[in-house]
Amino acid sequence: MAEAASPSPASRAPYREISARAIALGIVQGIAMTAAFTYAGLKLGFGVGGSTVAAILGLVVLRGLFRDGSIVENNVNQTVASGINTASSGVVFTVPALLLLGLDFDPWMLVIAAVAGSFMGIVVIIPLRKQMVELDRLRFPSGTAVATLLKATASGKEKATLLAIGASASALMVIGMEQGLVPEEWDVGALLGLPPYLGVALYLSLMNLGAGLLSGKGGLPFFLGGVLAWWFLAPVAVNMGWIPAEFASDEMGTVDFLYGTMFRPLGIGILIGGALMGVVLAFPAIKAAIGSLASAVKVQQASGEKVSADELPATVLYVGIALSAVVLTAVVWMLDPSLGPARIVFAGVAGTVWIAVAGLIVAQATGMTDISPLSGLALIAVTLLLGITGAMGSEGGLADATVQSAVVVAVAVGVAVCVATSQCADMMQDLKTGHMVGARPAAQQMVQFGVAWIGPLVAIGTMMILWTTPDGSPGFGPESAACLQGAGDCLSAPQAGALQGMISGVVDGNAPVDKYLAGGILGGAVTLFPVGGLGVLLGLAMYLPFSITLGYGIGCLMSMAMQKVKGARWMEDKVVPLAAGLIVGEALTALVFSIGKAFG
Amino acid sequence: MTALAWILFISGTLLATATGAHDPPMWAPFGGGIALAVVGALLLRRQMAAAGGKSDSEDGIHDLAGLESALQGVTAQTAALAALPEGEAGLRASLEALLLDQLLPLVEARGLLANAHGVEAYAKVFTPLASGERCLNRAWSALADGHPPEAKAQLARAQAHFENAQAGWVKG
Repeated sequence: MAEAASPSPASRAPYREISARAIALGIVQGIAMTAAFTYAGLKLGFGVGGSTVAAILGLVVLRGLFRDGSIVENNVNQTVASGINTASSGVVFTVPALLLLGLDFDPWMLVIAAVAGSFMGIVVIIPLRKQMVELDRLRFPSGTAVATLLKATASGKEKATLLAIGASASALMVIGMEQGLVPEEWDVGALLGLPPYLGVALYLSLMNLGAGLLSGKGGLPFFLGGVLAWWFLAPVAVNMGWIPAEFASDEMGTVDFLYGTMFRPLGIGILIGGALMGVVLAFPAIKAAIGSLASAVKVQQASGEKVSADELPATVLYVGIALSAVVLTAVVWMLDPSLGPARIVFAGVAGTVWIAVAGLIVAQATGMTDISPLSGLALIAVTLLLGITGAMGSEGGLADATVQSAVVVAVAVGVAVCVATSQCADMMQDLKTGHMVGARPAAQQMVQFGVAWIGPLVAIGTMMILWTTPDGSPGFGPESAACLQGAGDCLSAPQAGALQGMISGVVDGNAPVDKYLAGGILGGAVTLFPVGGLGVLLGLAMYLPFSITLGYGIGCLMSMAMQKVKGARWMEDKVVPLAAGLIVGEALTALVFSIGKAFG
Repeated sequence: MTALAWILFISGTLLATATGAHDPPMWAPFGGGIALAVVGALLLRRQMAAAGGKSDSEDGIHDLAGLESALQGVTAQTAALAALPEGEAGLRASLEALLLDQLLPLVEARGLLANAHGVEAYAKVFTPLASGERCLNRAWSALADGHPPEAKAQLARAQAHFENAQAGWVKG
């Protein structure tokens, strides 16, 4: 591998990390991606990550155009860009539900709630970074992939080649799917004559396989959770006659009941119980890790350096949480003063506590599997708030003005939760990237604080512009003129449509609270098992379709076999760049196709 | 005893999952399943702690003494690299060897310490160790970017963090 050149005069200047050009580039990319991803999310129903794109553009601009961009400077660029655009997925899932329900609300209140959530998402990861990146050493597959990308130009020919091979294979797979040459799922079960309720179908995503390859043994419980749900519980439920007759008469009805009524709500409960028990068990380590925030400063003082601190102080955590609670409480009060002081304060504090818990869950889930269960966490937030505001199981239903007002409050807090958890997931991936390239966590967190308000503003602004049409008809949603006519510019907002349905169900008293409770207890119990994060992985496996879990599990098993034969160093040298390529290739190609589809 | 613990945990988890997923949940058998799973998990925890920080893996570090020795090795090698003159030829290759051949086996065997002495003792060693690792990663990036002064400064900081980790070990 080529050694760096001898020190140039420029190398006597401070090593560049936070720079105006990196921040400006990140902001421009972030705003463009937020608007585009909001539009794409309303049209297609799924979000895409922006870190990979930002890192590649950073390589082109900072290292190609300016020629002196550093690795850690490009990391700041991708942190800023992804920190802004991550708000789009949180907003697209929640805010349109209010528009689709036809409720009146002040968009600025939602912007304030979303901005509070965005800041809170950064704040709660201060201790979580210490725990999950440094102590648990979770893999964060996308974060690892971006770090591999940032270092690619200096990592030597072999690693760069493996990265390119992985990216090309993944890109070709996506192109094949888009052209109809390769199916998205391979129904192995149908081939073997197995019943659909066993869920033996493989999601043919090389990104999913790459995430499994990077996670290895640590991700195996996720796969086993899917096995437990679909290969144990499903046959038990079918053979014991637990499927109601109206569903059991149809094979796909059986699958729908198993997944929608049995597995998914139980999985959400297990996620929550598992994450909370994880905090209890890891409390001594978390306490020691927070204490280390102070000792890190002492190390800098001992080494006699005059550099800014690497870690944000724990005070930021406490002040941030308190401020978030105050802002959310104020939003609830401004949206519905008739709730009364006790309920208003309770709603604000409960929303803040739930953001912290949801942040913890999403950080663990993305760290171990790269998957963040945003919709389930937002659903719990909305259910919780509908309960606090007294709208759950209301006799008047959604026609009642009091209930309507409570729904607006619940969705506003849901927006904050969804944006916060998106921010958490993204920030944890960015901090993993930062750890691998040697970035200062405080630098990443400070730039993220500086731009956290931009994403919610752009995402909600874009959405309101798309909703407001000159002729007064709905701008998007299933009832819009474009969707009713089946036109290509139909924005059906499928995720928010799902939330709208869930809200109606909760208001009518149909929330599966018993399943959440059972899942919570079960998640807490299995987390006592001496393998970290078992509850969260088990819950996530029950929450997701088995086709995803299966592909990921195959990656884990392949990784374990290779590690046993070839050892850890070989895995770092060969498998990490290849798996990173699989993630990067699919992310980039899917993004191109998504934008292409969304904009016709 | 280990087999019994596994049987309790697995059977309890299966029972609780099935009866909890039933619509509506079957609370009595669910409670029984939870009790079995909890007892099994706690027994497994106790047995793991009783193993006293030993691993039966065929490669890498097998026990706490090996782990401590590996930590001392990483600290010594970091100090040696930090003492090299700025811009020393081959520094990046030596740094890569330190990261992959010495530090990676150390972190792969990290569970030994947590199993033997608990998560607090583990955090006292591995929090500063992770900070040191990040400094080494920054030194690598700085060398790749042609910035030897930053690399030298980061090596000194990594050394200080690793010494903190060693101090944490004594206390733990």
